[in-house]
Amino acid sequence: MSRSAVRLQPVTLRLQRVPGPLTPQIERALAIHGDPLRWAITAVEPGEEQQLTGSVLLIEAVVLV
Amino acid sequence: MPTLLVIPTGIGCALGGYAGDALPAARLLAAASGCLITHPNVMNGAALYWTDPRIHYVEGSALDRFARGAIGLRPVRRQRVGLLLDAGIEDDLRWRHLQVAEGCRASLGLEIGPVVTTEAPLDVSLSQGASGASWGQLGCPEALLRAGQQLKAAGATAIAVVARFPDDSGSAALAAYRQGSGVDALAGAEAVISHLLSRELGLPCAHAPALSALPLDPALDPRAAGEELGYTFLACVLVGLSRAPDLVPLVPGSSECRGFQAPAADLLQIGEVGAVVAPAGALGGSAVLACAERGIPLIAVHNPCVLEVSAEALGLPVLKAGCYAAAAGLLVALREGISPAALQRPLARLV
Repeated sequence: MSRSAVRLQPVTLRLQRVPGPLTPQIERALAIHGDPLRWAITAVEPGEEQQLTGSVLLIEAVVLV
Repeated sequence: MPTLLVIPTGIGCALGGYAGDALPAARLLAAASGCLITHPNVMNGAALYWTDPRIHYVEGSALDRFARGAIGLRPVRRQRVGLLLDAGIEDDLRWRHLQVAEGCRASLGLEIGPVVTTEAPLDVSLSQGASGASWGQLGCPEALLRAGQQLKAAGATAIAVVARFPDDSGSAALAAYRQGSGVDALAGAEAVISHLLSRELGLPCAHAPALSALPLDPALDPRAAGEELGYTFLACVLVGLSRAPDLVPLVPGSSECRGFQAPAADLLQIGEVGAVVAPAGALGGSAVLACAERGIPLIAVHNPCVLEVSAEALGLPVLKAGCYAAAAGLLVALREGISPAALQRPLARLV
């Protein structure tokens, strides 16, 4: 255990999808808020003309800060 | 053929949204695959449980790490299950939990102990995300981690956690849940507790909430009945953890590599997994995405829940199953090397 103080922080974010695997995109976006403990995509808003790229992912998470 | 079964907790799945009501599906998929890796939400039925040597009981964050290739799973004959009790549990409820542990030692022969109580109440609170999924918070996570470290130092090889959860016996949400609709409000906070402990200690962990007993409800949904048989939710956790596989770090140089060991022949790794099974509307979790990104066949089962994160929304190739019995058929096909497409009509021409 390296942490001297642990705090759990709920995070909700909207992430616009770019080409490539989703997991690294999500982890990069969450890392701005802390160390992700648990996350899931809980909704998807389609992009223009139903394209995957450009769709918006709603991510709910708990991070360690 | 090793297979992952994921039924995310706290999203109101029609099958798997209650304590242990996905167990029959898990037993079926274990029989179909010969080796099923799944998580406590699927297996825990409060006072009810089922053991099957083909089923590996792996807590959610460990399942995520397994799917990413960060850990392997090593089957064991038994674990020594340390019991971690929240200081916020009242004395009579604490005794009920201790007596469940004693009963599991005396009647099932499990190795349980030591028992450690947190230095301060964990202060669990419940919440709901924008999606309707249940989440939760822990006011005193450091007390949880310190108690877990004490147990590990004292020789526990797995940890059962019991935290005092807020009673909400008069709430409309609980009444709806008991009558067969809505979301398990406790599940999200339970997952946060076990994720934190398992990730930080590298041990198999699972959680049971401590709650006051509810008044009798003759209209109780059959799926909720398992949760009202006794005073605690602990027995299934102790049984599940008693043979949960060891979590073996695989990636040298990562934060998870303390005690890194070379892979052994009996070590189960993600590269051996032949399929992952998940609800068709809940494909956006970490383990499922990691498997899909590795090209592991994904079986999306019709199992309504509060989410609509489908294969189409995410652009994932899936094999669709109308129910878990159909998913079992697909697993048998994959296991036997039969193309699932050959089982459907019309069969498209090659050229």
